Amino acid sequence: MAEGRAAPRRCVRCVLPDTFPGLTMHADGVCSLCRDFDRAAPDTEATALARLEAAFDQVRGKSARYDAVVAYSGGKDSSWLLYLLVRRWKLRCLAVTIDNGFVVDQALTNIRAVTDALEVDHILVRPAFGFLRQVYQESLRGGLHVPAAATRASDICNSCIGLINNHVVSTAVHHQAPIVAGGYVAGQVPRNSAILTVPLAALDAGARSLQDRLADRLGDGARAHVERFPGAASVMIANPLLVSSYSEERLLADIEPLGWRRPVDTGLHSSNCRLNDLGILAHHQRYGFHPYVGELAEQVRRGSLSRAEALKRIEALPDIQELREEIARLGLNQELAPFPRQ
Amino acid sequence: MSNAARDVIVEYLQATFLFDLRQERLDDRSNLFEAGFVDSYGLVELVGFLERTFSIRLTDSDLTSPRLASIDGMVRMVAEKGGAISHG
Ligand SMILES: [Zn+2]
Repeated sequence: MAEGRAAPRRCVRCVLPDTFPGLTMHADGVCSLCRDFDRAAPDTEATALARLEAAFDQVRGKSARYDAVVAYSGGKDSSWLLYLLVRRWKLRCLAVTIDNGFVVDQALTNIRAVTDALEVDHILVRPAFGFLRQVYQESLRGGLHVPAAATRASDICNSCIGLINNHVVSTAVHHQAPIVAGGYVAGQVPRNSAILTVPLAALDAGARSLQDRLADRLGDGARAHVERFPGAASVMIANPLLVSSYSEERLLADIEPLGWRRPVDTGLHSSNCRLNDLGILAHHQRYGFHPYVGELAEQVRRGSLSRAEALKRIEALPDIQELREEIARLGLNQELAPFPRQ
Repeated sequence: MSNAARDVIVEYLQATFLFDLRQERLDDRSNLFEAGFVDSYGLVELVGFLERTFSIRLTDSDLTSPRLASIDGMVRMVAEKGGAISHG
């Protein structure tokens, strides 16, 4: 895809390319992030799991209706998350799904099946598509997020994640649910975020900055799409999949009996969103590396993914010819390369 | 101590949040959130870095303190908590 570019040099341990921002390659071929990983001595999974379960024990059953509001995309990871929260940790959950207009039908079918099987209340939020289209157009133009966001996900995904997190926190505040849970896996969120108490004031600062960035591009009306969090309370952010011995075989064995089926039309990486591939392609063209490489590299370091498998996933790039429908729905020009390099 | 801590913090911030202090005309008092380099994901990462690197524990009020937004504030926070660099 990136014609004219030489193949990047990759860390011999974790697959990060030398085009990855902020990365240094050492003489032995190992990258600076692998070195940091060895030095950091992170909590063992068992320690972090114990802290997570202690936090769950502390709040279970205390609030009127829900213990946790769960960001639920209908994909395999968040389906497993919901399964674990309900069946393993016995938390009363409210699942929240944001339909960005590109969620595949099978994902919506899966959501119904899984929430019914687990007897979980569910809210489906569909922001006006005209607003989302503008957000995605601006995402593809670049510069909507902080520079470091490009090391974590595509610009499109970062926009969605910002809006989803905002909705989920505001739902938790509304229901006075103490926990906000996400199905993020290693490499998608910071290592210390398996369980974390965050004051609403800190989340409000993030919400204000999201409002500012959107308003800057889309006008002041965009502010109304982002909820603010006044008040002195805190919420617990939980990312239980970081400490749940994540493996695809294990999670499928748990969620398939609930009626979850793998969608066939979502592209190479996502199990619920048809826009994901466009984000990947645009990101690769603009920044010169695959947006999933950061999280896959972290999984390789942690030993939950082989280096060969990670390489295979980042080398298979989406074909723009198969993204015509998504490009048209976003109102982008089919003939021009829509994603300029930086 | 303060200077060593500052150097470690600056090196981390520049490598993680992808900016160059001088190029961006920022100084130790600049608000890195307002300057557009740290978002809420970055905040969580930053807290993890400070706790791990200096063997300290940040409280809820630290997490909402404007001190966390600038290099100067972070250095003072670490010093007040008696932080020591735990890994060379
Ligand atoms: Zn590496």
